[in-house]
Amino acid sequence: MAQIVLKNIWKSYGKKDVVKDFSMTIDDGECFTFLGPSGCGKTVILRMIAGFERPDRGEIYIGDRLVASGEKHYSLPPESRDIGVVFQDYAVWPHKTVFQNVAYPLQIKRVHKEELKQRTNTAVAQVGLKNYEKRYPYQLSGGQQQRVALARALVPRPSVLLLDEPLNNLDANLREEMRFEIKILQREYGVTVLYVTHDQDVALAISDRILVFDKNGSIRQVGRPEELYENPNDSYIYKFMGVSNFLPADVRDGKAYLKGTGDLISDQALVNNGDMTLASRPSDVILSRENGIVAKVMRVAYLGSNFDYRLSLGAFEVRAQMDTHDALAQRLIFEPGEECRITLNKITWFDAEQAKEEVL
Amino acid sequence: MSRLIAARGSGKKFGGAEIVLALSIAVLVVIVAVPVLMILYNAFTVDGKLNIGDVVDIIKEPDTYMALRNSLIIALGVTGLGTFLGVLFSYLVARTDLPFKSLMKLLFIVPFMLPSFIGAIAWKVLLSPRGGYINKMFMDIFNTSRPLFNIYSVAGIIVVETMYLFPFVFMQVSAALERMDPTLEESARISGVPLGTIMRKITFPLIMPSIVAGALLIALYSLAHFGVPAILGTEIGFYNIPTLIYRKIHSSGGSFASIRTGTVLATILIASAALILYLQKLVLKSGRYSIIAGKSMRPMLMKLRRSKYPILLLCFVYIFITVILPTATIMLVGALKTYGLPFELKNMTLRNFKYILNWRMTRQAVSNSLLLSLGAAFVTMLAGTIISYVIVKMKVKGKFLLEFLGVLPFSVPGTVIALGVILTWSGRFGINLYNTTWIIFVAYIARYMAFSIKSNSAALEQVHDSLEEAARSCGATHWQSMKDIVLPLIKPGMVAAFFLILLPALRELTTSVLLYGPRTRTIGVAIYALNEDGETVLACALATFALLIIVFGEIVIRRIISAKEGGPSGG
Repeated sequence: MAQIVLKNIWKSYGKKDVVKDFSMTIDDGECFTFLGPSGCGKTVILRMIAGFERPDRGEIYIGDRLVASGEKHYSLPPESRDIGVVFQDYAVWPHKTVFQNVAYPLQIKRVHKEELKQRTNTAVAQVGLKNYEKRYPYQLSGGQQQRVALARALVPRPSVLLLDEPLNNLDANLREEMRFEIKILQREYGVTVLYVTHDQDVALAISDRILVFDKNGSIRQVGRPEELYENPNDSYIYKFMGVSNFLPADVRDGKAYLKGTGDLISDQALVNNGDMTLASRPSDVILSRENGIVAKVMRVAYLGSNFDYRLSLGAFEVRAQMDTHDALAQRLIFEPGEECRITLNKITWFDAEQAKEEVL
Repeated sequence: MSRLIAARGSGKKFGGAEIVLALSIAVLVVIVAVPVLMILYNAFTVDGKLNIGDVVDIIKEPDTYMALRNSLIIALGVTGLGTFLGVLFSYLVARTDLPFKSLMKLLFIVPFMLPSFIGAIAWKVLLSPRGGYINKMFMDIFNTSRPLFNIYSVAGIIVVETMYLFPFVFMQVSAALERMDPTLEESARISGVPLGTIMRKITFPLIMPSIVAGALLIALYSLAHFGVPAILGTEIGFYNIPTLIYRKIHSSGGSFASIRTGTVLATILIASAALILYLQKLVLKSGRYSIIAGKSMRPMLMKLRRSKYPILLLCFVYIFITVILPTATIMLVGALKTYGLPFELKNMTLRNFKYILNWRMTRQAVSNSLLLSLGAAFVTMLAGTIISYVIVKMKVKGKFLLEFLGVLPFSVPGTVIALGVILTWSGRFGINLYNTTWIIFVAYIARYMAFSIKSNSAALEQVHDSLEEAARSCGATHWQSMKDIVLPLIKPGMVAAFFLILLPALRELTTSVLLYGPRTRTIGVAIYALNEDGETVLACALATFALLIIVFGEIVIRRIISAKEGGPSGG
């Protein structure tokens, strides 16, 4: 329906530059996610695309249309931008019923009565709220209110849908359910979606592409979810994508030793000699009684499907996860205080200097 | 001044937001700021030159000095007595097993709704040294010439004012006691601390900020109070600041010297009010314990045991004396054939009420009051909505000026507003409204603007920005989102603002008494003037009508507010 083009956007509040020279193109029909910690400016960019804020400098296009230009002091008002927005706090109007909420955009567009009724009912049914049409928002749960907001944003068939942390206020189960539904609705409507969040689980689950910000608002990496997970640009991305172990290593001729010790971590370190930082996920830490370097069990948490271990490796802490069935079958259950041995299955290497600043 | 700001706005960007801001500031400057500035200007200058020595001379004059002293004495007395009663009754209602508590809570707030000058007239009827009904009865029974109590005295003024101002403390402290987390007291109790110690060491310190805040409100009102001292003090030549201002302006027909004395006294009122409000802010800030913010839970109740019924009786006696007795007195005196006759059926008549209904003066007063208060309530409500919208919702520079001007009238007593309005609208700036209804209208708007802004701002704060943004993203223009989303949501706040202005404006005396002309009396002024002229019976008959209108209005507003609390399920 429409691509979103952001060209050299600047935005400051007072003396603080919140957005600095930001450029990005979001393709037509794509589900694109801004992922970053709070305060990185991701919501501000969304609000500039929506028209709630004006860029100080730079240009924004939706489709072929220029909607905002800092230099020209031009900003198309939100109502003329052909967008739908879903807010973190739902923003469902408390004095209107579910039907009235969802019908409002069509009412504003003066859609004919019969069509309005039919389209509203379809949209309400699509988000699973059939038979709730006459209820008021205070009679709905948080998840149901967010569905109303979603239906309301989609019913005028906008070319762009902007979602600002829409699942934050929902509990884990609802969050999982809703992210599927957002994905399904996006495909059905073929709408371009910009999703803003700090939750990497949601981002990985629904995005075609993800853009990761750091806390200064700089772009760290843009790519498909599996790209970011498997080939992170740097340790920051690696850490953002899930629970991680970072260890400093000393690499000599393809062999990596835990820094300051003679413990061999890997004999296939195909990287430069010298100081490096290695990273691995808890599920790639293999526990055993015979092979690997010695670690001490600090804490154990049984999480049903797996055991979660916190191990100490000299001065360093390592988290390990072991499948419950495997652990039982191999009799590999350790108590706190016990010694165990570990090997690392998949290792990602990072420059020691950069990693030192950001993750260690 | 307003033109200046508007002109500056047009220099760079001149959007709709800037126009609305400039207009709102202009309204507030003209209505609120200019009158106050005029008072300060006139107090400190003579012929356009700064003159402090004159100010000192005026304060040194015996009657100004006495008025200052009297205001202070009354304020201290009323604050002390009112705080004691307020804390006592709020504790009884909130924390003991006293029966009929919800009824008692309502009854203790009733004095707040009654105009205090009507109460003062009732007490004059009952306790004036010679003719007062109670004093006469006392002197007959005990065959003495000494009255039981002389209401024309400092003590009399303090007691009567206290009756009508103590709800300030009562309401503040009851609210704090209800919101206080009872687990704080319970945990002390579990540790074996006796109840008296808990009260002294835990409960009392926690509600202290509320007590002080309420006490300061009493002080603020009492210091600038006109009605009660005007009715009970003038008789014996006892003046406080507002009544002295009134005497000066009235007796001299608005001469320069009297206005100047008035402005100096008014400046002192403004300064002390500002000081009180500043202190209150400090106290409330220090009192923002999160422990009071919790949900309302069932507090631990003190068992009164054997003293339960005596205390209940005491409460009823108090309510009888402060509410029922004066109200009944006003109605009964209004029905007497002649003032001074005993209350017997053969002395009663409905003639006075008929007379009041047909008399041109009173009819005019009632219609003036109705038109003025309805008009002022409507205009102030609308202006307050727009100004609050700018303050709460708009992102424009310079709105802090609006906030300041909006709450300024809170610290400006009615007498001061009247004086400022006289100085501003008597032709000095080319417009002369003196002796017209419009000058009272302008004064009412200035006096009640802060109520409207407070009520509307509170309602607007509840409307989260995203609700409006959601409407905009759905295709609604700014105006459509105002009309479809914001206005329906703040309607209850607007209605509340309307009644919060209408009811006090209906019984207003302090401001109108300085502004009325021959044809522009209000109900309050008419009652006051009738009483001054010795027409006590007619004053009471008119007061009866005023009380009926007020009670009716209070019932209506209560209905509206309770409907609002029921949630937006109405549709």
